[in-house]
Amino acid sequence: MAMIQVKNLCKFYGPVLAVDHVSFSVDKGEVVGFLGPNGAGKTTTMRILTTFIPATSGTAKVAGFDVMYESIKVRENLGYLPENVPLYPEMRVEEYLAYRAKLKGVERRVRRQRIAYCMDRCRILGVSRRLLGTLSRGYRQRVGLAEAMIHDPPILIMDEPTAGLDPNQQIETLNLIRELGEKHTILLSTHILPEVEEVCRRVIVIDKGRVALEGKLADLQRDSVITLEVRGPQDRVQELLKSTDGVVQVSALKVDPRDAGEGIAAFELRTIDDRDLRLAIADRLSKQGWTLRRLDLRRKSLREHFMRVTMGSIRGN
Amino acid sequence: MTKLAADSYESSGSASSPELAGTPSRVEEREPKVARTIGLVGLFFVLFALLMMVWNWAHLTYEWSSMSWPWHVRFSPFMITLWLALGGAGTLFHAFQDRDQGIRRGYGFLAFALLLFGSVITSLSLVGGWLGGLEGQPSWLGPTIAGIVAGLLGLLIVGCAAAPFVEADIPSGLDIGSWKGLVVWKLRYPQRWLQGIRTSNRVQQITVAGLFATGVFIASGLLMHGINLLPYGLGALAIGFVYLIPYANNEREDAWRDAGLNLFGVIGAVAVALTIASSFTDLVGLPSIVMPYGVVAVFIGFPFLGAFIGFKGADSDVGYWCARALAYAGLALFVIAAVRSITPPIARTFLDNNDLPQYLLPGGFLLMTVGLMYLLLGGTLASDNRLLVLTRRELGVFLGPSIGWFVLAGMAGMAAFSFYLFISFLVPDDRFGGGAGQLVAEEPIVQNYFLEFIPLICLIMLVPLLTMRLLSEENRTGTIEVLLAAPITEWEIVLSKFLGVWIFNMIAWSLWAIFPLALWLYAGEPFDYRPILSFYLGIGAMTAGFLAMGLFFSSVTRNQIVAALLTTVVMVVMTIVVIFMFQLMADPAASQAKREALGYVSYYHHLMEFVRGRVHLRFVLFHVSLAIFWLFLTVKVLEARKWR
Repeated sequence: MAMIQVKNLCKFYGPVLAVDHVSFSVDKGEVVGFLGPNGAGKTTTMRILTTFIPATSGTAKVAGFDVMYESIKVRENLGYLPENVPLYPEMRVEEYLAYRAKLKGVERRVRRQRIAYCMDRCRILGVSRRLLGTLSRGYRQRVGLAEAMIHDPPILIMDEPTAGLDPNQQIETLNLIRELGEKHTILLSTHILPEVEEVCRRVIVIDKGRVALEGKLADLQRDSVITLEVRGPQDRVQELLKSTDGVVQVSALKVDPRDAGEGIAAFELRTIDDRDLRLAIADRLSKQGWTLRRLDLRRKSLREHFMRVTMGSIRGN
Repeated sequence: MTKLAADSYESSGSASSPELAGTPSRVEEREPKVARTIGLVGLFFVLFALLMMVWNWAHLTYEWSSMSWPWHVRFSPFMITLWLALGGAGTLFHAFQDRDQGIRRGYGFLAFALLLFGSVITSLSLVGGWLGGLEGQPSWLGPTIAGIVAGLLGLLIVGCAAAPFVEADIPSGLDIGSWKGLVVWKLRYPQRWLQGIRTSNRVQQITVAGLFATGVFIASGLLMHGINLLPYGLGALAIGFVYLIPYANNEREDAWRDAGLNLFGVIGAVAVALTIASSFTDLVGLPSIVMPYGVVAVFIGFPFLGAFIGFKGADSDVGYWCARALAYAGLALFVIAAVRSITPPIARTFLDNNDLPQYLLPGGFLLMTVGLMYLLLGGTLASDNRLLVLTRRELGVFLGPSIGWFVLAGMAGMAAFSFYLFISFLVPDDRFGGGAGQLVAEEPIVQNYFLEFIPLICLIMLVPLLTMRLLSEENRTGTIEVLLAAPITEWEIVLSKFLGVWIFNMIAWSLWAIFPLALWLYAGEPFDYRPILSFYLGIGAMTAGFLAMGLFFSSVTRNQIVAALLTTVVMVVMTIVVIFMFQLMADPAASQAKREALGYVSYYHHLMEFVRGRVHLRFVLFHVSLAIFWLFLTVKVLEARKWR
């Protein structure tokens, strides 16, 4: 069952089109990374999902409830961690969590245990009596996370949950998100790509309000590229490579003038289904008598995918 | 993978006490030199003021006015009050800041002594005065019964203070948190207390000291039989309350803290019981004590029980049950008062029985209001209803460490000054600076207190001051987004903000009632206090309208100053209307139509009519409908984000 379903969502801020026909869905139990350059429309989409602002057109459903017409039911099933975690500076941590728990309908009988559990999981037991106004950025984020999960919602939406945290806190938060992901559906937006690779199963990349890329992380990471440097005539080597079974694309790379003098040519290959054809290529090349200097298989990182689909916006395409 | 790193991070912070072991920063207690200096200075001020009081007493008793300088000098009450207030503020500041256990417990014992003194003396005066009014009694019966009652009250208080120590030193194994456990524990308490006195040092000390003090206070109270000690008793209760707060706030050890909190609880409970008893004392042949003692008990019961539940936490078992009990008590009080108020008119119309005296004014009205207030306080503290939770939080912001206390202090100061002016025109006495006292003032005399320039300024200033922060701060910091991420409706948000500010506003205005109440208690001749009730009805309705307007203006902007300015402008415009009305009334040529039209909108003239006892329903409706109008607009503003 799709926990989050977004169809053709559009949002105009005056003349500015912030979200342009975005469609995606998140299934139960998935942890999905929501990526994009700054200003791409991530926070706007999230705000629409949390019913804070309405879409100009299109529909969004959370846990089966429409965000526009059944917003109270949506909010009962949703936990939201906003980007800057605004808090009331005069309340204490424990007090604040108890207040939010009551607003979200956590029953009196289980409330104290639930608050203690969330504080423990988010590692804020030590500051439970501190005023929210005196907390550092990392602690505020953790309080926000504890607050988002206080009513055990099936869906969690987190806007940059590790932004501004120190490395230790980032690791802890990621651990927590990974644990939560086992039982909850999570949509998290972030800039930190290595984190996405660690925690998420699927990614959605948004650029200029549109979905630029969507897919399972495993699929994206399968994309591989073979790099080779060989001593031999460039055009003939290229032809041989092109004719090899399974090779889809061959592109010649620029070489150092010194290497060119020695007759070295470099190529980049892409193969069908990202097959590892290194042995076959090495075999064929050596049969022709051309010496192999380098043969590398590299999996494309998420970063490369990201830059590939969003680079256009930076160059102004 | 990285769990190890995470664990070592948490344990790296050193701490001076176990509870701080999990915190990220190092914590070191430093000697609070500034606070101690201020406390010491404050103490000297207080002692000096007491010396001045002793000097004045000697001056009066031994008639020094005819002697040479410096003996004929007297200290004015204003000076004494000023020194006392400054000294009290200094010591209070010190009490809050100093974390040293000895000093903290010193203040705690001071509070304990003051509260014992206050309770004993108050009960002596009340019971003594009450019984003394009965005819046909031998003269020793009144004081004896009063002494017994005061003694029992002292015993109760000492017992409650000793209870946590008894429990700590001789554990009972019962679950005090549950309803049944608590009752069983209470039933077995007396024998355990005796056991505690035998075995535990702490229980011994507290019991002996407490009972000894109680005996001394009773004896001195009985000896000073002719003097009205009620103001001293109530004053001691008030001061003891104020000093118990920092003690309860700072005390670390559970048993000691609970002892302090129990003081809040037991005195509050006794006050509530007194109020309930006052609703039917006249039915059992005793004089009616609703006015003033029943009402005075409200001023005691509310803060004490409020503090008890506040410190215990409305989420804890004890706090929750206490809040529920309070709600039921309030309901019972309301029902009793309502039934008694309705019975005479029904008897008159349906049974043709004219014998029953009317109960509605003043007793019935007061008790019904008090019952409702208790019901509301207990209900909101215990309830999980979202609107009440939101309202509680809003009210808590005002009553916590914020601008709220300055507002209350300011209102109290303004009220005191107004009262001073009011009295100086009534009393031709040197003590009040030689005011041209009239001795004759037209009833309702309180109009010279409530309908003056100062209360008007307070009204105009209070509305923008209280409302400017309400929604503009949420807009600015973005907490409105988090607030709306919870499953609550816009109406709940707006209503809770409104109720929070309106209740605090009524608390601030209720401070003005303390002074006429004191006059009524202290003066030999009771004046008509019913205009005070109608004044409060009027203020309640009027401020509802104005505060709702202030809330609306704070919802449309992110900037507090803009909100305050807009609200002030409208308040000033409405005051200009009032001025026009005054001019119209003075002008004989003005048409009747103009007068009526302007009189409808001139809020000050509404108040004037209310204070004179004419509570025109159309004026009340005017303000209430304005309130509804502004609240509706505010809800639409919040909903408007959905239209963009």
